[in-house]
Amino acid sequence: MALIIDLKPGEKILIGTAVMTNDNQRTRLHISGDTPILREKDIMQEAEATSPCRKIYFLLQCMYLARNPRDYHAKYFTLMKMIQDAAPSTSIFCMKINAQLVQGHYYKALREARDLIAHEDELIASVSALKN
Amino acid sequence: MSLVFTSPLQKSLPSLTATMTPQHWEKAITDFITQKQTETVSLIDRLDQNIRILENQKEKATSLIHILEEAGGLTVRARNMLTTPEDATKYTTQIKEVEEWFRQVRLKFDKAALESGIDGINLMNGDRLETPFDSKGQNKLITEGMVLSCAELGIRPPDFSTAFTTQNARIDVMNAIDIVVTVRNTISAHMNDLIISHDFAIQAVELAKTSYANLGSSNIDTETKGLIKLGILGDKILGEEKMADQIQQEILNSFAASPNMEDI
Repeated sequence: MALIIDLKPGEKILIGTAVMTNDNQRTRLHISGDTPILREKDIMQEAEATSPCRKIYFLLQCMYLARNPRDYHAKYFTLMKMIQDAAPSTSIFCMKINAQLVQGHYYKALREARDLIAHEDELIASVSALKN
Repeated sequence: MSLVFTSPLQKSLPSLTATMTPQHWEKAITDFITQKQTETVSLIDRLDQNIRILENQKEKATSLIHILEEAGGLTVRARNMLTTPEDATKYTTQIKEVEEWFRQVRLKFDKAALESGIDGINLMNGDRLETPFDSKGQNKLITEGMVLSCAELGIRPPDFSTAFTTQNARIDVMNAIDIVVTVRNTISAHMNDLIISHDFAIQAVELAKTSYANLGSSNIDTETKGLIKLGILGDKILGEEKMADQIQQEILNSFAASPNMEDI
């Protein structure tokens, strides 16, 4: 079944290894096949990976784009272990992300990683709120 | 000390509540981890089994290709005996002999394809191998086989009486080799996918084992401090090297630098 993506005017999308920029009107794409697809809003640059859990998102994104995702497994597990040791409640998100990765569902793993980032943000915000 | 309780955590595990005891909190999370771990261990078993089957089927496909190459060699041999119109008469006996060898190779190919099965699966005889990634089988990798017999592959019985019919036999064999190579490539690609999942799953189980350790002493204060401490390490968290390899970095750079509307 084809994936349907609506692009806003000027919106960028990564399909495989090519970046496409939509012209000045809305466009609907029907995409079949098995290639990495990332919308502009999903992309995180390395400089934006400013917290441990954001770095996990960034590594997942790299796995998704890599021909051989195994190149990133060591970095991913090292960082995930550090995060889990520091904050054991993140294990839930880690298990959910891993369940997607084992099936080769990198895009779904990225979605789970968004929850991990939200969890991290909420935890840190709670301490800031207490200080204030 | 307050329990760790955030909206993403509750979304992921609805049984968690802000008012539960630390023991219940720990148990809910432990149960979740145990369930996922059990599922992953059983997936590893399935992957192990199917990787072994695919390895075997890849070897069998390679053996079939070797048999077809042998048949191809015979067509070349026959063709080399038919360089002039008189050669068919001149080398009748030799050509008949090569035809007979070709016939034997056809039989050998059909027999080998039929006997290529393992654990009840024979991708060389049109079976399919299913690798379910979840216990309900909703997500699975299906490796489709093909009936690889001479008849199905279009390899006709030998007729090396003329250069034309001999060339046809050669084309039949070359086409058949292409088909079997494609089957082998599919098997190989699926095997690689399963090996990647398998390696990942093993490391995921190892990680899950360590995740129970600190749950009992977890509270919002220690977790937040732990995350902030990790965050302070910044870019050095994984050592000196960049997280992204060059190729992925270039893809991301090209995304950032792709033309905007004014550039088009």
